[in-house]
Amino acid sequence: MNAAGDLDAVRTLVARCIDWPIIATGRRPDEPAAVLRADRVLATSPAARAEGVQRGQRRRDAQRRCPDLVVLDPDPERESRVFASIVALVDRFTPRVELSAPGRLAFPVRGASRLFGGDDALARLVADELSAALGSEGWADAVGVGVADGVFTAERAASAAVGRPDRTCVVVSGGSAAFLASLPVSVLGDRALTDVLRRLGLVDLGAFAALDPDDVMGRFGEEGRIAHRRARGLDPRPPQPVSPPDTYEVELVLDPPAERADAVAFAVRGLAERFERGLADDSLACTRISIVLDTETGERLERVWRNDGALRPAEIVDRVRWQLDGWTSAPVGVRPTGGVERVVLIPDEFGPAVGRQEGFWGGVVDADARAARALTRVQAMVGPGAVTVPEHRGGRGPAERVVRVPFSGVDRVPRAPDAAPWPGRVPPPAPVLVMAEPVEVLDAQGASVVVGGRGELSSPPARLIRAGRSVAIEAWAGPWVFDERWWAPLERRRRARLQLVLADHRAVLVHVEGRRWVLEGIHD
Amino acid sequence: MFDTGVMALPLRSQPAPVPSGDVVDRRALARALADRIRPTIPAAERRLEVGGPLAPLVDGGVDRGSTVTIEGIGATSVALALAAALSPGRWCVVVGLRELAPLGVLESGIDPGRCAFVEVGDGDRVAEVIAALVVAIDVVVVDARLTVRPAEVRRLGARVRERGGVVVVVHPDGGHVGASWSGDLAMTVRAGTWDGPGRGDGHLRSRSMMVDVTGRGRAARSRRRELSLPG
Repeated sequence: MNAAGDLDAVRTLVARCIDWPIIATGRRPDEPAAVLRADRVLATSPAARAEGVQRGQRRRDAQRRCPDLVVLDPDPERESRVFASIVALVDRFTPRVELSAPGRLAFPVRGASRLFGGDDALARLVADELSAALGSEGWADAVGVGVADGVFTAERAASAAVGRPDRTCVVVSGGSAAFLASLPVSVLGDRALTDVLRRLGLVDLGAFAALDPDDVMGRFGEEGRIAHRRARGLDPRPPQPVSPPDTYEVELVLDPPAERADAVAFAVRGLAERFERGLADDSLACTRISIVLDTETGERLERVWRNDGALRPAEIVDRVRWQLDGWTSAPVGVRPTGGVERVVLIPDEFGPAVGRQEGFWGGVVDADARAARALTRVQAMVGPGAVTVPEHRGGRGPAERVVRVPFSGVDRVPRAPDAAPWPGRVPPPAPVLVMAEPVEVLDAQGASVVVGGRGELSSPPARLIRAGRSVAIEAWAGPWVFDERWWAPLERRRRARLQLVLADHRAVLVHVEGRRWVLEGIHD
Repeated sequence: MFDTGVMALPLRSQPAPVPSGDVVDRRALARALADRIRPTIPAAERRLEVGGPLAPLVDGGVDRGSTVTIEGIGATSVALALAAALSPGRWCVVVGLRELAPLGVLESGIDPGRCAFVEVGDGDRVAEVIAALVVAIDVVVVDARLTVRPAEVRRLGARVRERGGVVVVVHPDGGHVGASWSGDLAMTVRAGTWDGPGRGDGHLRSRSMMVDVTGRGRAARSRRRELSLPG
């Protein structure tokens, strides 16, 4: 096991409801039933299994073993719909539930485990919750909850947990490989691979895991490598959280609709408090909120607001007011034509409900908080994309090295300027104004200046023609030649840059690409 | 019993007796109380110090609440240098100036962690945006090409004086700052010469320029100063 591999195995909880396709149809476990697709048995009820019906059997064989078998068609849409109500039960443990197939859910346990007293306690809580919900139909024993490093191992643990008295199986951290060692290679799910492994005499995961990773990669390629990582208890991928469920969403219908922002804000106060309570009950706080405003005439304005800490009810009310202020004073055509009829608050991002989060650009400073509020306010007036902050990126051109990123979406950790050298970069100072304006650079004879393959000028530049006006060039520096993305013929850019000092006291940066000169920046 | 007339006076030095009588001019009382609770900015805080090459231009600092206009070729660099000199540890927000290069802004010395750009469209309420900014941002750089009505500028000026930020109005690329923007301090950049490039050799290093400064009130006399800036 290498250190890097250990890092990506995210401690994960998987809850399974076996026989889900049968459960979703509303049958009880003591009814012999099977879901068949394309003449093959896909899922069976415990009663049918007791009669000898197995996955993969043909319909004829299954019905011979169990004459009163109820044959059902698969209904994936119904399975997902019914499962969604089960997932809702788990929402109180985490907002980050990953659903990959009906009957199976996963989430990283980190926060939830701490909150609920450890992996074992959390697993038991989830198992109790699910089996209580399914118990009314007699399906309590279909539940299994596993916790382990990585989704794959957790899934195996969940399967192992089915039928146990407490319906849980927790694999200690770092114990994945030992837990998996005795399982048959067929659990890897890759038919072609497991056939070969069996023929090689590797019947369990322990034997497979003992192989050298390089040998496996050499013999089985990428798929083999992934299977091998799984067998060693290292997951190839962490679970993907779905967006937070809509359980925390709150809405308010205004009757009669309200025209004025302060009337709306007044009405929203109670809603914001309800919103915060709903989250606080689950020890959550909202750091980014989506506010939806609907008018009686059917217009809608939705905006996402981010905060440098948990959003308090008063702050939510402020944002509703700012959003509405910004909207009602927008130009005709964008402005709403009726009063606000419905307000919906949707949490967009959660943080733990303890204290305040990391400060704005590091450290909550009063002035920073004030500035952030003012900018948030201005953002409501001019639109979210119109307020930006600088961010360092790599690149050669003056417009590439530092870019503007939307203020609302900023990562609060300022990115350090890249220290890597970019060959062909023009030395500082950079022009303070950037543009892309076609110009002409002419020599003393009035011919366009050409830059040759090795960066030599055809003749000294003498005049710059910009917007029809000709200005003499008094001095110049360069060219700085660069060949960007030479490995990608379609994106390849070959340019040469020149700094020019003009007779009108301006200094400018121009570049030529394919004999076309472009004014790129002015040192105004 | 009580002489309510005294309530209308600003009572900075002596505390106003809080009237308890029944015949009280409520408005006068409110005014007096407002005067007493109004936050006073210490004298040292009322002026933002300016060091470095720009110090001789502005006599070592700019009073909070003033508006500075800058025009001429090189105006953008002077404006950025002034903003950087005014705002160490403070916030600086640029309104308009769509073609302003973020790289150039950072090279001028403005703190990237306390800097933001606001783009405003023609229909947007420029004055309102600026008014919302000056309450919290110490240095607001404004594009002189944005149109505001003189009445709005006057109101804005009052708000800036009350809140205490500095507004720097700049016209990029050699244009003139319109008459609707009136500055407490007006700078015009004249003849700049560049140092560095020759005939294909070297690169831009620094420039020196002449800046004419005229002001109102305390800074009324006009002067011409030489300014040397990198870039």
